[in-house]
Formats: sequence, structure tokens, C-alpha cells
Amino acid sequence: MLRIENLNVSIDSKEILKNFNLSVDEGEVHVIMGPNGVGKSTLSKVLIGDKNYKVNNGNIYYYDENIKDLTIDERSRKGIFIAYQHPQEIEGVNNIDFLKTALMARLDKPINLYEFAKSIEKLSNDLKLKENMLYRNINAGFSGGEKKKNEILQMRLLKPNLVILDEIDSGLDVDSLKIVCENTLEYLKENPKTSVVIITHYPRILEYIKPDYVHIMKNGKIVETGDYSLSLKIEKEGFENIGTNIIEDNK
Amino acid sequence: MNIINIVNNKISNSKINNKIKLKENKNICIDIIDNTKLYIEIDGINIKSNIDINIDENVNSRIFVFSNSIDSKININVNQNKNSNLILNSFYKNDDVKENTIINLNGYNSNIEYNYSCIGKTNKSLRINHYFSKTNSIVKNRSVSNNDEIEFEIIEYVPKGSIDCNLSQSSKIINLKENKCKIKPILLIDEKEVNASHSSVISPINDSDLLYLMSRGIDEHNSINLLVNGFLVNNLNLNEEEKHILFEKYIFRR
Repeated sequence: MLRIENLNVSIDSKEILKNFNLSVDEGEVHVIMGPNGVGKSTLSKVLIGDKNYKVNNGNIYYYDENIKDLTIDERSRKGIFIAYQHPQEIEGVNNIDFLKTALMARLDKPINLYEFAKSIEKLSNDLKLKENMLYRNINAGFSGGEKKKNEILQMRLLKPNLVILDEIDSGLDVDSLKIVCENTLEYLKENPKTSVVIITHYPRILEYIKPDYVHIMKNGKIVETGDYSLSLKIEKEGFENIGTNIIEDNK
Repeated sequence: MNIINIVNNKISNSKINNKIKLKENKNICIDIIDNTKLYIEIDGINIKSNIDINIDENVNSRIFVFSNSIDSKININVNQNKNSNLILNSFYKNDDVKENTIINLNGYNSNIEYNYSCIGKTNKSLRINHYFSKTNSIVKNRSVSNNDEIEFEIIEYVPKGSIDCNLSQSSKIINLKENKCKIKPILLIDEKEVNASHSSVISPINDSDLLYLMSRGIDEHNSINLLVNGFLVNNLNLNEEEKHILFEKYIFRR
């Protein structure tokens, strides 16, 4: 489903990703771990098509189509979704109007408002979001946990094929993390072909969402790949001794 | 609901209760004598309207002025008396607006909240005179420039002897295409015991906001529309029903 080949990415002339390779099949859960500043979030931004990140070289294939030159909205409509680490607060734009517009864009057709309302009501209940939050400005005045839940609500509503969870666990309390993970798992159960790339520092989220592969990133590339046990090793020993033998082919 | 429709400085239709007195001579004169809400709709082509509004003592009122016109000149004069409170919302979607509003706070403890949103070529002048002590004004002007020049001039005057007045004004223009836009905040204050603040911002659309909306599949054009409409409508002190009417009747109409 997703194939990243020899990707080189820079921002402000600084090279962040260096010959990065990754392959993700349908229904797989991949985890990218690594210390701060190694390019994990850059990877997520490049995947969704953030124009602030310049791809110098390499290709990104999504269902065998090279999406390197597609805009962020085009990629989203094709089913690529990111749950942001820091969701944007937008004054003046009502959450419910935004969701309606986003769903119409994703489906490329008008929506049945009754079905939309029912679906939003169910998702809000599942995520234990207060109803009035839907009528407030996007993420404005939301707590950290509420913002992350709002991201997951959008994921479940827009039904993407590829989900990138960019540090979704940061700033979440135990109860909120559980709710976010349960909702993600519920979505994956309903959509078993959906693939997930989880970017995180900590293995705590992996207690809920079991990964097929765990990759460790250092200096803009993957230096080691393993399974869930690798994340536990990281928790115990840290990142320092990882990646002494760099693995170029990541899977 | 009180409604007055004005076309070419003539009242074309009105439906008002006994809390409002309406006179039509050279100007349209609206006297609000008790707490109430009023909608004024200005429509048509080549409009020249002169509207005088008087708010009686101890009266709380909300007025909405909606204009959806081409090449219009609108003069609004407001006189507020002692202990009166007015929330004046204006939404203009015109091709060429020259609007001049004067608000006279003519009585002790009279308060104005003035919220103005507009799209299109605009030359806006607002003057608030704090003629009495303990008068308060909050001014919020918002506009979006696509291909148009926009100019705001906001003058607030406090003469000596008007003590304990509070003045707050903020103006913001989203400039989508590097057009010529200008904001002139002018505070003429002859009294020391006054709190006054102002802010003026002319900026393009926030890139991070745009990116977030587009990351959910909304194309650039529709994302900008969402941000612009939100920016303008959110500035007005409206309930949900009024917002809905504004969207349906004015924002999506042309």
C-alpha cells in the first residue's frame, strides 16, 4: 500500500530524512520510534504533503501511484490521514461545519445530514466528547486530551486507508489514552485493510495497539527494525545502543 | 422580530413593535424607547442612506445592520442616552462601500459594542464621542480583501472631564492578494483618567490554519472560504439562528 523509496527531505536547507525507505502493506501497523530530532515528525509531514518540507529526492508510492507531487488535500481525499501531535486551533470555524465540509470532500458528493448527525453523535459518545464541543471553534479552548480525541473522531468519520498517528499519546492521561486507543482499534476492526503508522517516543500506546513492526529512527533513517519486543527493549535500555549496524532495507 | 428594510434611503417595508418609533423625512429616524432587538436590511444598487438612531435612557438594545448592495454610501448617526447599552452589529457585502458612522455617548454610563464585518471595496469611517463620564466602547472591525482596497479610520474622542471611560478597539484585515489596505486608529483623548487600547493587524491568511483544513481533504478554495466566513461571522455578536440567516441570506447569496 505504501512504499517510500530513497527519500531525501530538507527544511531550511537542512537535510532531515536521508535515503529513507519504508514499505507498509494493507492492514499492517508500523511503529516509528526514536529520540527527539531524528526526523519522525518530518516523515509524517512529508507523507501527508506538507509543502513546508522539500523532497529533494526519492518517491512515495501509495497503492502504486507516485504521490510525491500531490497536494495535501489531494492526498487526504485519497485516504491518507494524519492525527496531529499539536492539532491546530482555528478561531471562527465551527467544528461541525468543518467536519461536514471535510466529509463531503472525502466522499466527493453531498451528504445526508440526518445520517451525518447520527454518525457524529455516536462517535462523540464513543470518544466521550461533550456535545457542545462540536459547535465550538475547531480545537479552540479544548484540553490536550480533547484535541486528540477530536483527531480520532475525524479519523473515524473520514475513514482513511492509511492513518498516521503522530505522537497521539503525548499529553494524554491514562483514561484518555485508553479511549483514543480503543477507538482506533474499533476503527481498525471495522476497516481491517487500513494501515497505521504510529510515531511515538514511548511503548505505552503499544500496550493497546499491537504493532506488526517497530522501526527505530536515527539521523533521518531507520537503523533497526523488529517486533513489539524491540519497543520494550527501548523502554528498558534507551536508544543509545540501537543502530550500530544500520539496516538499509527496513522490512 | 423588528425589521426595517431600506432601499435608496426609503423604507420599503417595516415590521416593528411599540418599543420602536419610526419617522421618515430627509433621514430615516429610529427611536428605541424600550429594550428590544432590531434588524435593518439595506439593499439595492447605488444606495445613499442616512439613518439616525436614538437609544433612550436605561434601554438595552441590539441592532443588526445587513447590507448586500452595490456602490453604497451609508451614514449612520447614533445617539445614546444615560445608562443605555447598545450592541451594534454590521455586516456589509457590497461591491463598493463608503460608510460613515458616528456614535455619540451622550449620557453617563452609556455603552456601545460595535462589531463590523465586511467584504469588498470599503472605505469605513467610525467616530465615537465619549461626551460623558463612565462611557464604554468596544470596537471590532474585520474585513477581507480579495481584489479590493480597504481602509478603516476609527476615531475615538474623549473630552476633558469625561472620566473613567474605557475604550477598546481592534481592527483586522485579511489581505488575500497584497492589496492596498490601511487601518488608521486615532485616539483623541484630553482626559487622563481613561483606559484606552487599540490593535490593528493586516495580514494574509494563517498558513497553519489553511494547512490543517486542507489536510482533511478540503481544497484550498473551500478552506479559504471556511476561514474567511468564520473570521467575519465570528466577529459579530449573533446567536446560532442569526448566524444561520446571515450565511444563507448574505454570505451564500451572490
